[in-house]
Amino acid sequence: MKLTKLLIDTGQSRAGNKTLRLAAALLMLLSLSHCAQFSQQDKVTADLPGTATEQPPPLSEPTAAPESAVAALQDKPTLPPGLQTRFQQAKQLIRNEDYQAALTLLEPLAQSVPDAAGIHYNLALCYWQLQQTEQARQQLTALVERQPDYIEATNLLGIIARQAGNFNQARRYWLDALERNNDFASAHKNLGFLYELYLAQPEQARYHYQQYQQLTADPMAEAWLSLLEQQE
Amino acid sequence: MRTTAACAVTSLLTLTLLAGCSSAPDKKVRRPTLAELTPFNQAVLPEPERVTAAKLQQVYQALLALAPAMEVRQKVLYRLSQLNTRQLELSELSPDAEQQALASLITEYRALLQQFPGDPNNELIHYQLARALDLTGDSQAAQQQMQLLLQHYPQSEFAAELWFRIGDIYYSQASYPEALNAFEQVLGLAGPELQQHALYMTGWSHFQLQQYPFADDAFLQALDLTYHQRLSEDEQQSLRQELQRILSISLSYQQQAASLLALLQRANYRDGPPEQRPVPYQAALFQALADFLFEKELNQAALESYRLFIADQPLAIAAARMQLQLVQYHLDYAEADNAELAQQDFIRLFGPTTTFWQQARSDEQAELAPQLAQYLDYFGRKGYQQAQQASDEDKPEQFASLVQYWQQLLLVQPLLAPEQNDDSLLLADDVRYLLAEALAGSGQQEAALEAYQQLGYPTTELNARSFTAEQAAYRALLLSEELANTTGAGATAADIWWQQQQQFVRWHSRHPAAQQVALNQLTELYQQQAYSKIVSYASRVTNWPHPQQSKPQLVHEALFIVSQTELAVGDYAQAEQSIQHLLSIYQTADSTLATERRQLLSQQLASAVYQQAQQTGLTVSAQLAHLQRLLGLPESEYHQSAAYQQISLQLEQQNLPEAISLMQAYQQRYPDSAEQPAITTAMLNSYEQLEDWQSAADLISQQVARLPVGAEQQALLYKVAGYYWQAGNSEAARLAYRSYANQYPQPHLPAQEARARLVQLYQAQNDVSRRNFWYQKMVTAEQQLTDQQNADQQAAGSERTRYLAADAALQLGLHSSMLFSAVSLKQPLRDNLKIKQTHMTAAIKLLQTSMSWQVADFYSQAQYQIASLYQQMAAALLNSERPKGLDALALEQYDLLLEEQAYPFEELAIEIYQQNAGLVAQPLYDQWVAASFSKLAELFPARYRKPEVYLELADEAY
Repeated sequence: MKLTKLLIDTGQSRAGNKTLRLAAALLMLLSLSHCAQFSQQDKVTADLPGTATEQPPPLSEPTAAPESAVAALQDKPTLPPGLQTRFQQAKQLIRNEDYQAALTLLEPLAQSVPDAAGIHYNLALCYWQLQQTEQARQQLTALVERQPDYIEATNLLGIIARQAGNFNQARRYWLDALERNNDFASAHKNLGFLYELYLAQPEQARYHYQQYQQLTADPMAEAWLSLLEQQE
Repeated sequence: MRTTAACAVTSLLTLTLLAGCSSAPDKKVRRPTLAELTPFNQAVLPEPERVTAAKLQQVYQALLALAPAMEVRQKVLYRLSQLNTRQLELSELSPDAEQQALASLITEYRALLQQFPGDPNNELIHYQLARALDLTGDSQAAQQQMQLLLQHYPQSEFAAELWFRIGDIYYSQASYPEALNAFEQVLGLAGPELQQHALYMTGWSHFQLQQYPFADDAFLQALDLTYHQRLSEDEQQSLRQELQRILSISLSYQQQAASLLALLQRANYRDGPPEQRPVPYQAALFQALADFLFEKELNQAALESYRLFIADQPLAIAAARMQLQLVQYHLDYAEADNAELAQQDFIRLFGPTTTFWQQARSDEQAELAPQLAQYLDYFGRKGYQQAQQASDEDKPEQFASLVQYWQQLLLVQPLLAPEQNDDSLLLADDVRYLLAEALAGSGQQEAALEAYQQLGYPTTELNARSFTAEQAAYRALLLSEELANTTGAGATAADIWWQQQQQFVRWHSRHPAAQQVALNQLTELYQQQAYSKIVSYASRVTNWPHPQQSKPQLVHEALFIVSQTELAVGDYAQAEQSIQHLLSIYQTADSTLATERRQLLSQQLASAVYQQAQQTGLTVSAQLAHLQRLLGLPESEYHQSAAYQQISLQLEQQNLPEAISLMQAYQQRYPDSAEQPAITTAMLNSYEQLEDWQSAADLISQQVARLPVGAEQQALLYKVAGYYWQAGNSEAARLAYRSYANQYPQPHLPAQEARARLVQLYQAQNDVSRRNFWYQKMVTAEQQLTDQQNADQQAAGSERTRYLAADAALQLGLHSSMLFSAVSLKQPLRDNLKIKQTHMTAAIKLLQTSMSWQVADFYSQAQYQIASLYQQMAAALLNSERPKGLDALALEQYDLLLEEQAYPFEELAIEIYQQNAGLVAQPLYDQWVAASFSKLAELFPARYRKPEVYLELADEAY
């Protein structure tokens, strides 16, 4: 791979950078305080995947699916009692971050109930958390093929793609999810991050931040937009 | 003379009797036919009474005594005179008694003439009187009486005779002109017989007058008549001989044969021209002349007679005979040369090729055939001897002259009667053989070939003593070969030669050369590559019909050709068998040929086996079996190829251990082989496939040791190092790579690779110093190349070399970074800071050098490391050991100063992390970019701490 020549200019825009950093620090404080408000609804990863540790971010307390997604799952069939119990046990294990144990329950369940999207999603989630990324990707891909409207799976596929550096693929997943459901706030948020940090497309980032803001009224969105304007 | 008179008297009596008979009545009555008549029995007739002349004289005397009438008396007297004349003629008297009787008759005749002058019978009486006078020798009285009679009776029937007698008397009186006159009277009056005599006498008269040509004419006319007179043969022959002789005498006074020839050309033959004169008659004249001349010992003139006649009448058998007489004359006189010339002339003039021969009757040809055969035989043999003794230059001409003799002899021989074929003469087929030889010797090869062929393959039994059919056939064979080998000879000659060989072998298999000929044919077929015929022709030689005569060496040669043919047509299995058989034959022989054959066949045996291995459709095991069999044979030029192929097959079969073993053997056996490099390569490949790197390295290292410094050694040394490397022989690999890197800095790429390997090897030994030494070598080499490229725009290092160099610079940078990290900013701070800064500067320089080659794999890491160095430096400053003894204010001031010092480093770190994170736009996203994002999330969280959101647990199964 060839790269354009990138020379380090140690004295470049130091003052500007410092100003920017101060503004950013304020925003950071704001975001942290806001995060506390959202922590029960929309857990995010504590760290970026793909860092030197290569450990998936630890999950905070599991949350319920967004309302939009829950609505989409209404009127779904239910599991037989025996399986339902196992499913519940598995969920508990996930909440306890015992992904390996959850996996032992979910894998046979997934075999028994191939059209149960939640079981398959949780199974993929376990794989991902256990850094079995390829199994996770396969599980999610199969799920999306069977149930394209299960956009949480598509969203997670986007995250896996981004972590692997497949930014365009991640973008496609999230856009696909939005195509299914344009009100899917997680996809807008994730796309905003992607466009800003990895694809250097601030206009696209702004759009999705704005969409996210409209859907969630998250005050962080305002901070992101503000900082985005400063960069421009 | 007496006879003539007697005849006259007899005629007279006959006339009388006939007159009596004529008085019979002429009644015309029908006479019965013979059938109507009763057979007449003569026995019933009485025996008639015989009336003799004496009794008749007695009767007439008795009648005179009766005194008859005058008229009767006159008749009786005349009758008595005739009876007396008759009696005289019939009586056998002594000369005296005869003279008396004649005198009595003369008296009697004169008395009658006187007494009865008018008697009609007086013409006869005068004649008889003249004759009687002549007989008494009174020529004069007789001549008078004759002239008197001719005077009184000019038309007398006795005129010619009387003129002749008158001429005769003149001639006897040497009155030749008068005689000629008288004879001329005879010629006008006489019949042929007397005319002949008159001519004879005319000739003599002219001769006596030396009027030879006239004499010749007369004699010739007389001779002419001898061929038409009704005389007895003896009389004619006698007369002819006399005339021929007298003519010859006359001619001898002239130009002999030339005069005769002139005479014959001018003198008419009877009533016709001279040309009508029969040739045998002319020949007889010439012969008579020759005889006369020989008699007179005028030999040359005699011979000239022959020659003139031969020249004048070349188509006459008599001419041929005279030619033979010429021959005989020369032989008699021992004139050998002349005799041969005459014999040659005989052949030339009367031989079978002459006009004479064409028009000659068969009996004439048969007559001459013996002599011709003899002469032709003689001259043929003589010429043959001369031809054989002649120089090569003259031989053709000599032989050419022979051809005619043998050809003519062949024409003559059939005419010879069995008793004429003596043992000294050549037999017919002998002659034909000699003819063939003459034709061949004279350059007439085609004709000679035909002649030899006819004799060599006769349809009937040969009639020859000097040769056999085999010999003739062999000559035909040799001649046809010569013709075929003549420059410019066409296909026809070659075909003929081939047919000759075919015939010779088939007909004359007992000939000593026949088997060789059969072998020659076989050889020729082989040379013509007519391989389909080889087997059958070879069997003719090998299965010779006469085993006792069969020559082993020829049989072996045929077998050899068969083997060569089998090789040529690719029947190698059969060829192998044939060659084995031949080798067993030649095994014990010690001749030069046998030795050469053994050598050749040994090679060919190897070839045959080798070629069997090359045939398509064979299984590999079959091929290998053939090759193994070949390698078991004595050494040949095919062994090397076979060994090579054996290796190839084993390689194909991936029987690598076996192949390697064979290759090792090959290398030992054929150290100078051109295939050695290929073998070495194949061995290397085999070792590679077997992953026997150590063996591969050992194989090449031997070569490397032998080679001088140079490109070849360089390439092999690099390989050796690689193999040792793969074999895990680190020490050997290190030594090899080190030698390479030290000796061959160019080409750049392998040199860099070698340095990279050295780096790895020293790394494995934890020999950081040497590792970094080679890292630095790599960096320096690439920088030099880059500098050179910038200077003269020449080709720079490859992507690979830049990769290696970038890695090296990175690793050196990391090493310096490690040294940087190891320096704690303790008191004395200034010194430690200087050291730390030195390490940082060195590290950053190396990392920037790495980045300068823009290798993606190392670029982000190097850039991250630079950012990290700045970040660490900032942290190190902030965490540096505080000087002791500072009070709180001073310490605060000190901390502020430190922050002031540290802040730019942190700013630089953030900026460089951002640049590194910005690589995603290239796009480049790896762990160092991701780490940069992480660092930025720590250092600049407002912007970079943005984790994605996702559903952390699906609460519903569906």
